[in-house]
Amino acid sequence: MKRRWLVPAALLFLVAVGCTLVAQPQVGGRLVWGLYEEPSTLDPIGSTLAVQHMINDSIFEHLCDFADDGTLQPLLCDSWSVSEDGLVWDVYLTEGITFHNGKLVTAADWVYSFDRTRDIGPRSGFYASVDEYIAVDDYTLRITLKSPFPRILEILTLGDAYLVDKDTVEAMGDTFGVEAPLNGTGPYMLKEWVRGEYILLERWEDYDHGPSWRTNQGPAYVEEVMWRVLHEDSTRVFELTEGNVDISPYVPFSLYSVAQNAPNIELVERVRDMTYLLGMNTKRAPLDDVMVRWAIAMAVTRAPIVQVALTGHGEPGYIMCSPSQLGFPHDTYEEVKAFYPPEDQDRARMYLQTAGWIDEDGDGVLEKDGEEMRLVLYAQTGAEWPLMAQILQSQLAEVGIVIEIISIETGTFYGALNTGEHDLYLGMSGYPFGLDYLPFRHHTRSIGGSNPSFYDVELASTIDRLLDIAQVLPTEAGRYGALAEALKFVGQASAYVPLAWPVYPVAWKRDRVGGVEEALDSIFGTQLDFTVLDCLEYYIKQ
Amino acid sequence: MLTYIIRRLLWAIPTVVVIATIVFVLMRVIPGDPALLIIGPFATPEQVEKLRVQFGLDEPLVQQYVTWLWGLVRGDWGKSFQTRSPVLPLLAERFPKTLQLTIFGLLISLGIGVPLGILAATRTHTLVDYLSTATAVFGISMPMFWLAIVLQLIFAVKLHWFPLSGSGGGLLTSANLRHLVLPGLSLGLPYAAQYLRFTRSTMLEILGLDYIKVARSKGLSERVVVYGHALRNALIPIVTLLGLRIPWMIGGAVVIETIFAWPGMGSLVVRAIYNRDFHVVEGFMVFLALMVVLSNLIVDLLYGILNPTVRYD
Repeated sequence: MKRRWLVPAALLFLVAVGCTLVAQPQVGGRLVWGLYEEPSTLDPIGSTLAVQHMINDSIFEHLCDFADDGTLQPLLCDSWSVSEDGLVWDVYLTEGITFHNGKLVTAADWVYSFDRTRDIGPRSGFYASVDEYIAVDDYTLRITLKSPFPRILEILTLGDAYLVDKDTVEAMGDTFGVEAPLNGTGPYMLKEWVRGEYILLERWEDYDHGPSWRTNQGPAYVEEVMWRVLHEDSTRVFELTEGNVDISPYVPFSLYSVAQNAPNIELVERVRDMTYLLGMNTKRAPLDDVMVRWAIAMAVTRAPIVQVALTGHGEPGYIMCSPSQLGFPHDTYEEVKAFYPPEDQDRARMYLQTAGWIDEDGDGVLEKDGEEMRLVLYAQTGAEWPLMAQILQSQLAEVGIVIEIISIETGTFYGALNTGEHDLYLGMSGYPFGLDYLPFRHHTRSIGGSNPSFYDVELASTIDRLLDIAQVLPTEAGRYGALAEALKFVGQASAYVPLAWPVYPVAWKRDRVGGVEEALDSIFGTQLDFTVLDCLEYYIKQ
Repeated sequence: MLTYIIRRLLWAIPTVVVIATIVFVLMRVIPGDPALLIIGPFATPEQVEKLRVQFGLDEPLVQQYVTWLWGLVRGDWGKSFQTRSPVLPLLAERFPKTLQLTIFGLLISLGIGVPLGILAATRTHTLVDYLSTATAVFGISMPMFWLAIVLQLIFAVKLHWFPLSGSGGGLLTSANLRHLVLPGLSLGLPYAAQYLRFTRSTMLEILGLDYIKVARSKGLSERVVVYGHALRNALIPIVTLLGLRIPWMIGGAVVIETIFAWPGMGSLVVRAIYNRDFHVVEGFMVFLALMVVLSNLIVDLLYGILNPTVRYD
């Protein structure tokens, strides 16, 4: 009797042990990433490139960071307190945290890092509300503000607000960021950088303070992480299918089939925190007339743009905020959307007629005061832009608007937008935080910078006020509520026509790499470059 | 000869200065603000201006030019806006790999083009001639980037004979040489086709000259006639072509380096152009100008070896 149960019990035991072994992430190995772009430096204040942020997130750390549920959580601090007037923030630092070289982290290091970020960093404008960073004692950092800014700790999670070691920065001089050591506090250290070819990181064995929302608090499972620079899309995808690259954060739509047909490649796409848009220069006639802008917005049909230009890899975008951005009005989406001109070519014609644009000579082109409606559309070269421009050209032709397309490379494109040479332009922009993205794009103070629609007319003052209020309201619900209101007026102003929300594809070798899905599930999983400390999740399957 | 070389090198100075000036002006004339490209599209005008001041871009153009040129003379080629590190070490770090790829491409183009050109010229209107002519036409017609991708697909993806991309690390290691084959072929084969056509036509012209007929009538073997008498003279225009093609090949290496992720100067400069990293582009162009001057000097010196009647006054 006993013997009869012995064999199944033993088998059950073996299966259980086997399952446990399979489920346990393996330690060691080398994970190879295929990168579409090489960062120019790994100095956190060197640039705003996403690839730089992606690598730096393994080497450096923030004071706080966003957990998977989208809430701000302490990372290298234990807690914080705010004065009643909201002007003094005391952050209580975690004791015992060290840099890679063993030096203890103190408040003075944070003061140095944040001062550097504010004084010479590329995003220095973000920290304009900060009056001073003060080291009260070794483990208390005080942030004094010029005016209340409840989002200050949120802002200090940006890609340039990492903790750096003053001694290392000063000792390395010009070579800080381009040569080892970088001496951060993160799970990995820079081992080697062969410029143009790869960046090699090695695990920091002593790392033990990973965020609570990660399944692994450290050290990282993978021994070495190599970031190979593979600019050429086809080369990057072939290296992946050939097994020389384990994971690639971007696969172009045109090469999807290559990746999908290869064995053991997992390809996942999520909606990005970005919006494709048609921008209008409201300083130029006839786009200074809101009726014309509404008509253009109504004449645009999004489905062909998504299906043809994005080959189906995206979603039609109806408001100027992506569902992946923090601050997207999930609860009031339909209400916000109602403020944006609907897709309706008949109404577009009617609005144009009301604005005085009529096809008098029957050539299919609208005229007013003897002038034909001819608009210049600026688009970038490469990828989906030319197709998107042509689709818009044909859609607007149907309501009698002639579009001349000018395709130019990125640097020239942004130069042209700043000088306001365009009537219309095609762009794609976004940011994890809607509360930052909207002011960039729509606030009148960004005119001449990131607001190439130049609209300081009509609803601009209302939008400005709502965006300003959204920054300082004490509760998140209040801030997002104000943002949703601003989004409605943005729709009414129609200086931008949201077109599509693209997806972000990530491909990896499922037989080689584990932990990717867990990392992708985090709040910023739509864009791998903003997944906080995802490097702790990955492991190489034996 | 030494006086000649020194004089040529001294003449190189105004040449390089003129090229540097043109590039300096061009980089500043084309639209696109380096500060804006670094800081990203979400910067406020104040932030952009702050960075422009940091880079010295707020200074008058003439002052920027004089500062840069004076730095160039002193060996300070300015700093990269992107990396904030000095340009000269940045270029020097990448130069060996570009030089290696260019030399290997050159050897392939000459090693294939010249012998096949001779073969086609000595066997006119035979299958060999037709085949080599057809190959040359094909080689000249196909775009370099297309050839590179086809070679990748056949020899790396399908046959697994050579690595798909990268440089294998180091210089002249076995891994490095294996990595060099496909980018080298991609760079060299289109030029081999050009050398083939050029060698064939030059050789045909020379083989019809009187002194060749005299050599043949003296009973010299065809081998001695072709390689001893005709080829030596045919090499003079080929060497001229070589001098012209070296800078072209460095330009071609830019494309090949990007496709094969070869860590040379090319990929660095492409990014620098897109990012309006002025000093890197200017430094590269000065580097390229120096290469052109040097390669032309070498070509001129080769004339003397090929034709002893050439004198360097």
